[in-house]
Amino acid sequence: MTGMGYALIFSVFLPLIASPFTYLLGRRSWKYGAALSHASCLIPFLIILYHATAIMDGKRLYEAYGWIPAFGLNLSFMLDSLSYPFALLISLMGFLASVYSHRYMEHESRLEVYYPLLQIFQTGMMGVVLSWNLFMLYIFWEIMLIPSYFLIAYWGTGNPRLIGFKYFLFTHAGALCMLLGIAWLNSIFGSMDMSLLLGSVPRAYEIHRTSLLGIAALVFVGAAVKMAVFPFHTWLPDAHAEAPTPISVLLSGVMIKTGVYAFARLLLGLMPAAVSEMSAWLMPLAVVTMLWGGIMALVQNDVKRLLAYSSISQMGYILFGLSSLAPMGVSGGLFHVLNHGFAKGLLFMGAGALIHSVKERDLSRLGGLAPRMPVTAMTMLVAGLSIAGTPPLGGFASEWMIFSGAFASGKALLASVAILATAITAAYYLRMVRAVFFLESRHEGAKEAPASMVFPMGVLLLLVILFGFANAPILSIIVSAVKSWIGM
Amino acid sequence: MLPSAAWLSWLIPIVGSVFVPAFFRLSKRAGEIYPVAVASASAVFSLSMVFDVWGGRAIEERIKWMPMPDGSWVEAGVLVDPLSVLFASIASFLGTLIILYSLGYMEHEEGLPRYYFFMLFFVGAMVGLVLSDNLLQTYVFWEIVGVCSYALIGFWYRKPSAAHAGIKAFITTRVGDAAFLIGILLLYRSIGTFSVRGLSAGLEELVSKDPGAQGFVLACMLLIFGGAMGKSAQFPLHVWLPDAMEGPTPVSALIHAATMVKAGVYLVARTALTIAPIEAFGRILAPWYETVATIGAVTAFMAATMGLVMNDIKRVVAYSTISQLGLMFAALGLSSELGWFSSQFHVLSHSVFKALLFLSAGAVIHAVHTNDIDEMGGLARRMPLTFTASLFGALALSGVPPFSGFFSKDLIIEASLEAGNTVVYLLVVLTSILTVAYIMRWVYKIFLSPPGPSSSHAREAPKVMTVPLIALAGLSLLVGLFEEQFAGYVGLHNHFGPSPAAYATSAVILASGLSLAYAFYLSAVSRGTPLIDPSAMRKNGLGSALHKLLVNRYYIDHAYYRVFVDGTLWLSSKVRKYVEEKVIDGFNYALARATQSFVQAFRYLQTGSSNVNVSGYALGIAILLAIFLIMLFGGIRA
Repeated sequence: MTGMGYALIFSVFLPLIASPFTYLLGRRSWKYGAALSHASCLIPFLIILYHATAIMDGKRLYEAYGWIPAFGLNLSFMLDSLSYPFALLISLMGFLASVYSHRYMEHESRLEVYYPLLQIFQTGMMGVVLSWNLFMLYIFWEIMLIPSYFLIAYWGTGNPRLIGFKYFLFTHAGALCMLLGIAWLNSIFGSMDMSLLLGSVPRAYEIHRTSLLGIAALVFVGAAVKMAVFPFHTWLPDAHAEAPTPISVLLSGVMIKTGVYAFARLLLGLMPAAVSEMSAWLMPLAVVTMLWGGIMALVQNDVKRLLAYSSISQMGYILFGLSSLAPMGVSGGLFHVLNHGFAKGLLFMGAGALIHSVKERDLSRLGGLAPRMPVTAMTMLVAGLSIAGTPPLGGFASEWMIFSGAFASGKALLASVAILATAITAAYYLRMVRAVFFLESRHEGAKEAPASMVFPMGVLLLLVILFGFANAPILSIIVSAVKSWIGM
Repeated sequence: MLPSAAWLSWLIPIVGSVFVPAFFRLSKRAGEIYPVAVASASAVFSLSMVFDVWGGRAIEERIKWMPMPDGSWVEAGVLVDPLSVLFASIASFLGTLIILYSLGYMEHEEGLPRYYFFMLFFVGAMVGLVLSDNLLQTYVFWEIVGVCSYALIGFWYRKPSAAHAGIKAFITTRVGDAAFLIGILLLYRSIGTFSVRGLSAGLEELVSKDPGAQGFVLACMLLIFGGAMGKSAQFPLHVWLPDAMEGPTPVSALIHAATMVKAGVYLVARTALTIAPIEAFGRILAPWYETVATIGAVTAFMAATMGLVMNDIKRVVAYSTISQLGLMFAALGLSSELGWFSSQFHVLSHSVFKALLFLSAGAVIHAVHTNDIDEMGGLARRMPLTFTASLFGALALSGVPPFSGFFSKDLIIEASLEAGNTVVYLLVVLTSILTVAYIMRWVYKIFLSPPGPSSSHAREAPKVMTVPLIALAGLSLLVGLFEEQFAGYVGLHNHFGPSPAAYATSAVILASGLSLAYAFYLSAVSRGTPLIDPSAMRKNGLGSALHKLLVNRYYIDHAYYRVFVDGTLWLSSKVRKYVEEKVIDGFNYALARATQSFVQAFRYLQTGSSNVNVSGYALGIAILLAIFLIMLFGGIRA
C-alpha cells in the first residue's frame, strides 16, 4: 500500500473545487466555464491513467485525512484493483461528456450553472468508488444525486420536473436503504472503515448471520435501485431518456455502475456468504431483468428510451455475472461495467448527434441518415453490436465470461436463456440502426455532428473495439481484484 | 511455407481492410486495385501452406490472449492442417477472383470503400476462422463473418428489402450461434480449454472416466451443430439464405455460396476429424451423426424442390446452395472416412462451380438489369462466353462427367451406399435428379428460351469480369480429375475404388434429370414448344397446390414471421402496455397519489382562521397540562 501524495483526494475534489470558478467564469461567457470544466475533468482522468502500471503491479493507493476527529470520521480514499476500473470509467466518461456538452448544449440557457453541476456530479461519482469509509461513501452517493436531479429537472425534455422528481425519490429511497445498512453494520462492528470491516465482517458471518442477511438485503436494495434491477427499474427509462444527452451518457454509462460497485465492494467483498445464500434468487432476478429490458426495448420508438431499456437489460447481465459468485462470472460482470459503459455512452452520444443534427429522436420519423452522418452510423452500429455480444467487440469479451461463470456455478439453463437473449439485443439494435440510418433519406439537409462531438465518440469507438481483443492489461487488473478482494 | 503464413494469411486482409478508404481518397483506381492486391497476398500466404501439410501433417502455434481468474490464460492460436488450409485457400483464392470481378460489376456503385472494406475484412475473418486452433477464437471469427455478411447483404441499404434481409440473416444465424456458444462454454466448463486438440484429449478422458458423460458430450456436439445449421442454412434455420440474395452478386458468390456458408460444414468436419475423431467417438456420437445426416439430406431435398419454382436468377442458385450444403452434411453424417472425404471433396468442387454460377448470374444481371428469369431468354447468342461459363457450372452442378461435380457427388453416393444408409441414399438420389432439372430450367430460361423483354440490349460483360469466369470454368472442369491427389493431401491412403453401383446411380440420376429437363424445357429449343408444358401442369389441382406450396417456401417463412417476429412484438407491446405501464409504474404513481391524498386529508385542519387556530392551540395546551399534572401528582405508579 502506498500512501503518499494527494493524488486521490485531488482527483475526487478537483471538479468540486473548480465548480464555483466555473460558475464565475461562466457568467462572463459560458465558453470559459466550459473550458474549465473540461480541464477539471481531464486532470483526474490523467491521474487515474498514470497509476495504471502501479495497479497492474498489484500496488494499492491509500490516502487518509482527519476530518471530524470527535466522531472518528476520516476522509480516506483507496484506489485498488476493484475501484480502478470504475474510477477509470468515471473519469474518462466525465471528461468526454463535458467535451461533448460543449457544442451539444450551446444553445441552452443557464450554462454557467450547467457545467458546475456537471462537475459536482463528477465529484460525487468519483467519491463513491474511491471512498474507503462507508459513511463517506453514503455522503458521495447523495452528492451524486443532487446535481443530477437538477440537471434532469432543468435541462431535461418531456416533463422534466416530474421525471426529475421521480428519479430523486427512487434513488433517494434506495440511498436510505443503503444508509440503514451501513448504520446497522456500524452498530455491530463499531466502524465504518473498510479496512477494519474487511478484517472483521467476513469472519463474523456465522455469529451475526441474521443481521448480516438483513444488512445485505438493505444494501442490495440500495444498489439494485441504482442498477435499475427489475422491478425497481421504472425510473430509469424516464430519467435516462429525458435527461440532456451528455447527462444521459453519464447516467447510463457511468452512474448506474456505482450500484455495481456497491454490490461488488460491500456485498461480495464483505459478505459473500450472504450473497451465496441469496444467489438462488438473484440469478433468476438478473435473467428477468435482462429479458424485461430487452423486450421493452424491442417496442420503443424513441431512440433514447430504447437505449435506456437496453441499459436495464445490460445491468441484468452484470448482476447475473456478479451473483454467479464464480470468479469467471464476477470478472466478466466487472469487465462488462467498462464495456457497457463505453458502448452505451457511445450510443447515447450517437442519439445526441441525431438530436443535434435533425432535431428528431422518433424512430418512425428518422431514416436514411447513413450517407449524411457516416461516423454516427458506424459508431452506433458498432456499439450496438458490442452490447449484443458480438465479437471481436468489447461486449463479447465480457459477456462470454459472464456466461461461463454462470455455467461454472451450475446454472446452465439460466445461462442458456441469457445467451439466447443476446439475439433479442441484436434484434432491437439492428432494428434501430435500420430505422435511423437505412432506407430512403428523409433529412436532406442533415450534417454530421461537429468535431467536438465526434471526438468523444471516436475515443469510445476505439475503446469498444480494442477491449474486445487487446484487453489483457485491463483484464489483468479486474482478475486480480476478483482474486484479492472478493473473498473467494 | 512463407514465414508466419498461418498468421499473416488472415492478419494481412484484416489489417489491410482498414486502409481501403485511404486508398479510395487517393483515387478510385488505387482504391480498387488495393483490395485485389491485399486479397492476392492473402491467397499467396494461404496457398504456400499447402505443401507443408500435405499428407495430413499438422502444425500448431499459440500465444497468450486473455488472463483468467484462475491464473490460466485463454490462448489464441493457429492450427495448420489439410482441412484448415483447404478452406483458407478456397476463401482467399476465390476471394481474390471475386474481388477482381467486383471491379467491373460494382464499377458504378456508390459506397465502394465500404464494399471493399467489408469484402477484405470478410476474407481475413474467414481465413482466420478456419485456421483457429480453439473454439472461442473460431466463434469470434464466426461472428465477424456474420457481421460482414449482414453489412454486405444490406449494401443497398436504401432498399427496404435489402435492409430487412440483412437483419433476417443476422438474427437467424444468431439463434444458431447462441447454441454454438452454449456448447463451447459447456465444454469449457468441464474440460477447461477451448483448444480443439485439448478438447479432444479432454473428451476422451472424460468419457473413459465416466461413461455417464456420453450424454453430455452428445448434447454439446448437438449444440455446436446448431451453430453449423445457422451458418450453413440448414433446415429449420435455412430461411435467411435466399433473402440474402438482396446483396450484390459478388457478395452472394463469395459469402453465400463459396465460403461463409461452408463454415458450418467446416465445423462439423473439424469435429469429426479433431475434436471427437470418428474412430474414437463414432459409436458414442452415433445419434449425433444420424442427426447431421438426416437434417442434411432433408434440407438438400427440400431446397431442391424450392429451387424448381423460383423465378429470381439468384434465388434458384441460392436454393441450390442450401441443397448442396445439405448433401455435404449428409455425407459427413455417414460417420465414415469415405463420407468425410467425399464431403470435403464436394466442398472444393462446389466452391468453384457455385462461385462460377453466381458470377455468371452476375454477368447476366449486369447485362439485362433484372433478376427475373422470365424476362430473359435468348442470351446464349448475345453473351456466348457467359453462356459457356454457365453451362460449365450447370454441368458440374448436375454431375456430368468429366466436370468436378460428377466426381464429388459420385463419392457421396458411394459413401451412402457403403454406410448402408438407405434414407440418405434415396434423398441424395432424388435431390440430384431435381438438381439436374432445376439448373437446366435455369439455363434454358436465361439463355435458350425465346428472347424476353430485357434481353434486347444485352452485351457481354467487360474483361475484368470474364477473366474470373474463364478461370473458374477451367477449374470446374479440372478439379475433379485430382481426386487421388486430394486424398493424398488430406492424408488418406485408402484407395476409394469406383463402385459399379455408384456409377449406375449416377447414370440413372443424369438420365432421369436430363429427361425431366428435356421434357419440360430443353425440347422447346428444337421443337418450339416443350413436350410437356410446365404451365399446363400448374392448371390441375394437385399441380397448382404443389406449386403454391413451393413458391411459398412450404410456408415456413410465414410461420416464422407469425410466431417469432409478430408474436414477440405483439407480446412485448402488450406487456409494455399492461404490465410495465399499468402495473409496475402504475403502482409507483398510485403510491405517490396515495401519499398525496393522505397528506391532503390533513390539509383541512389548516384553515387559516384564527378562531380555529387559537382553539386548537388552547386545546393542545390543555392536553399537555393534563399530562403534566398526571405525571407530577402520582398518575404513574412506578
